[in-house]
Amino acid sequence: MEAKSIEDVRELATEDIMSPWKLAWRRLKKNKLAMLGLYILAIMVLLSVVGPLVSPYTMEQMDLSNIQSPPSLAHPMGTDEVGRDVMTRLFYAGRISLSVGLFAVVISVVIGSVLGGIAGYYGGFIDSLIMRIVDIFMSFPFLPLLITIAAVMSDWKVPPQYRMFVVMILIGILSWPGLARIVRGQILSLREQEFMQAAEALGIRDRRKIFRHLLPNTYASIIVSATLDLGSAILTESSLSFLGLGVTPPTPSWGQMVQVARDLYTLQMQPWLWIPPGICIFLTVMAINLFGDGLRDALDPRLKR
Amino acid sequence: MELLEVKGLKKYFPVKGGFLSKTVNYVKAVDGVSFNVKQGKTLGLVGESGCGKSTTGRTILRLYEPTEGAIYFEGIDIVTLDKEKLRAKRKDMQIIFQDPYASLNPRLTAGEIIGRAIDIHNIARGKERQRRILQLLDVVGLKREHYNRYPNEFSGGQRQRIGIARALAVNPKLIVCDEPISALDVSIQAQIINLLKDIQEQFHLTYVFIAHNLAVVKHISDDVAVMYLGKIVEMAEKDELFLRPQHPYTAALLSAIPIPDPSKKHSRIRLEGDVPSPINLPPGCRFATRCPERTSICDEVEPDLIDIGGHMVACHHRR
Repeated sequence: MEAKSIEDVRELATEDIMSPWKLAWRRLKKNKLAMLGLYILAIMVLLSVVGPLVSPYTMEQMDLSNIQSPPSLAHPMGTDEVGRDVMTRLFYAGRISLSVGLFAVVISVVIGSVLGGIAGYYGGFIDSLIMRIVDIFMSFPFLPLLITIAAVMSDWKVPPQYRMFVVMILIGILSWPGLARIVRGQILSLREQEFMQAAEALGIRDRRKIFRHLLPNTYASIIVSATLDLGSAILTESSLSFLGLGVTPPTPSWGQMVQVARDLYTLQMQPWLWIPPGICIFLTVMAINLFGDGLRDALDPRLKR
Repeated sequence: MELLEVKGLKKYFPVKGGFLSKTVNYVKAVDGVSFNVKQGKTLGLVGESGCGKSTTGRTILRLYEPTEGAIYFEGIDIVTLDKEKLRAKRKDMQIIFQDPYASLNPRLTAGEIIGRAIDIHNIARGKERQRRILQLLDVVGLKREHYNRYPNEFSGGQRQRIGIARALAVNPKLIVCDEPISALDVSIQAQIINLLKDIQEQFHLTYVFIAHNLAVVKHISDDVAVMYLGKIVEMAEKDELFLRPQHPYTAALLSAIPIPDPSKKHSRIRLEGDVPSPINLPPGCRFATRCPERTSICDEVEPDLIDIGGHMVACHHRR
């Protein structure tokens, strides 16, 4: 066909041709709630990254003359029971909480979608094998397991800065099975669709078929599941910190900072200690969900705006 | 020159059942089909639903692995090709599907659907790729502003045009048209048929055209094969088949074509009885249960497809 008609096609300007990502971004920009979520997230990330650099205090610096002081000019969010600046700690805690959440979700999404995709695509024995592994992971009692690991880690004297990574990996490894199931189910039904036969007839390779045709069609569920997981990962991290497995003092995390509210006196009399981290958790999780929803809609061409 | 030669093609689908899902039986969807298609010609494959015509079409492309038989494409038996060689060969053989809604990936724009087909065989890159996509859109009668639109924004006919452009993207020699118009509005059907005819001429394509609408087959085909329960019962040049149908089944099919003239008397042959199950086939002629001319031999011996002078027919009473 080359020879016949390539000459008589008029010269075509190519600037108005857009990639699918560009189209999705354009749709996302129109979604005000999603953009609000994106801005809040950006601010959170920015504060966590830049905050500690511009703050006059350090995370561990104690001001013993100013213990448990309410918000003032010198300490805009007050100080805690040993006189550390709450705002500075909040910034540091953001780094920890956000990165724990993010890495845990990345681990879970990568493992979950790859294994789910492989199980759904190949079916048969491989499918059974992977789904049995999923069953095993799902039947793990989460908290007892973590308490055991916490005990083991204390025994082995794992330094506190490495504990954060252990937490990320653990949360990630324990939360992928749900996603794997969702992805597998969708791939199973997508695999039989005629457009996959068309791709097959074109001589597409398996890898490309899974990653360029099948998985993109499951983005919606992956994104929804990932945003929900990100919120719950941040919350899980806080409960782990409470149990002593997570980040240990003096390193702060948002969840750990909220834990001070379990003391009735602090709860009633020193709201500056727990309200700011609480608001941070709330805003971040909400922003992620808003953004995730918007992203899902933007990536789904079937929804019109 | 024969572009495609199919010899004794069989496709059995296993029926699983019982403990540990053993194969207990087979659905004989295609049961020994042979035919040839010449370069640049169109073979019409007709038959009622469930007779195995779509399965035949897809098995030719090895979208289903054939159970038995040989498929010679340009003299090479593609049944024996390994995965990598088959992948390269797929460029030459394409398919257009019946359902224009299910056959396009809903997440890709029209341009990307065609573009991905180009990518798979590294036909063009960058600007050249873009040019080629736009050119293909033009060939199938779509506009360049359709490039960025998603399948859900198109009508059925336009979607089918995208499907055709995708098939054309790799410069195929053979296209299996698997009922490409039966899901479309009547008013659109003619447009798509004419488009298929035009591109056949423009790109020297060979078609295997699967349909259950005889009027359409008559319009587009050079030769016609009639299938019944996984076998070809009659095959001939188009005019010959439509003028002098030999097999009782073909005669019944042809009599079902409506005549657009109310003053003409319509004598329709009505078939009685049921189609046997393709799992449990009768020992004799497959059509015997419904045949108006059935005799004792029909229940005992299966008739072969025999050439009776430019006309192949599988019936004991047409020898």
